[in-house]
Amino acid sequence: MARPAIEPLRRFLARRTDAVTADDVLSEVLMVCWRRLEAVPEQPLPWLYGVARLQLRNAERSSRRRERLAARVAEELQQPGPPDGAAVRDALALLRPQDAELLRLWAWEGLGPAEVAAALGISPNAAAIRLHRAKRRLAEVLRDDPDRSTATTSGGTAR
Amino acid sequence: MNDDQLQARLRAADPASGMEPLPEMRRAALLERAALATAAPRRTRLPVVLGGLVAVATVAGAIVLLLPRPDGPTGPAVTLRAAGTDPTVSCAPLADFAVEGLRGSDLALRGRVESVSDGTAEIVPLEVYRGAAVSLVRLRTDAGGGPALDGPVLRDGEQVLIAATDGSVAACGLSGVRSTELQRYYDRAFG
Repeated sequence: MARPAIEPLRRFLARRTDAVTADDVLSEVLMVCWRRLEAVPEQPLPWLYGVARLQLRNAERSSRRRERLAARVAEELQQPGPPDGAAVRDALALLRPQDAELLRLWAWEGLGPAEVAAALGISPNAAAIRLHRAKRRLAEVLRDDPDRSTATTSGGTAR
Repeated sequence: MNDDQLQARLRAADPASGMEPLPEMRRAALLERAALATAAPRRTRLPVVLGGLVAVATVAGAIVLLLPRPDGPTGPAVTLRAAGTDPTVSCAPLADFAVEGLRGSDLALRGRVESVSDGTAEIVPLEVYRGAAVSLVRLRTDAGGGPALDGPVLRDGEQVLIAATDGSVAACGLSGVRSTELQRYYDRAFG
């Protein structure tokens, strides 16, 4: 059960934090998974994303965060992101964090509203409504900024 | 911009799109580490015989490696961390990782149960596969939980195989009464 989840979890974490923290949190999530096997639902990924979010939050509270952020910045300066990446990520950054996370779960993790709900611990109905609003807000931001709407920005950062 | 277009834009900006899959070895190591880290708290399945009766006991105290004794093997005194119990977790998946799991232990030995009384099993090391020499392993148990080691019973004179990492006994099939299968894991791990 845990084995097929490793790659999606790695990508989930790589989208949200630096490589060192991602490795640490992945280990933590797998340990939680082992300890709470009986709690893992039939569709484990949304549940595991929820665990990963909590573990990530804990990790980012730690005193090492600052050091890792410095490493991440240095890393990112050397690695250009995909074309259009910076523009869209900039647009995401302008949204409320909750909205941006909904959109990441939807587009990057490929979750539907019910799975987003499971990952965030909210009702499917609430997830569907919030996701709809978040999409609309992102589309507005992208439309309002000519640079972002052209989708041709190159370079940028990984997160 | 419709949903499909928006999703396409977002996916094009996915920072993880170029990630290579983790090599199988590293994936296995991750799972193994998680399994080992949670092995100690798992419920073990078989009772311990205490005072000639089948009794159930748990590793609620600690495994203490005692000070060297004049009539036995010598070694430093080490106190290992206590292990709790989690009655809800299965041990079955560990079998896949037995050898690699044992290799990750910092203490591994074959020993003989010298005595079992008052909730404590004393085990004399016969062969240390990994870690410093020790004179005696004491498994202190409490009533009411699961047994300290996997295995049918702990009886005087019986041989056991024990592995521990960071002070916690590796249960779930990695430590227990010596059997052909378990000995084979140890031989492969440390041979």
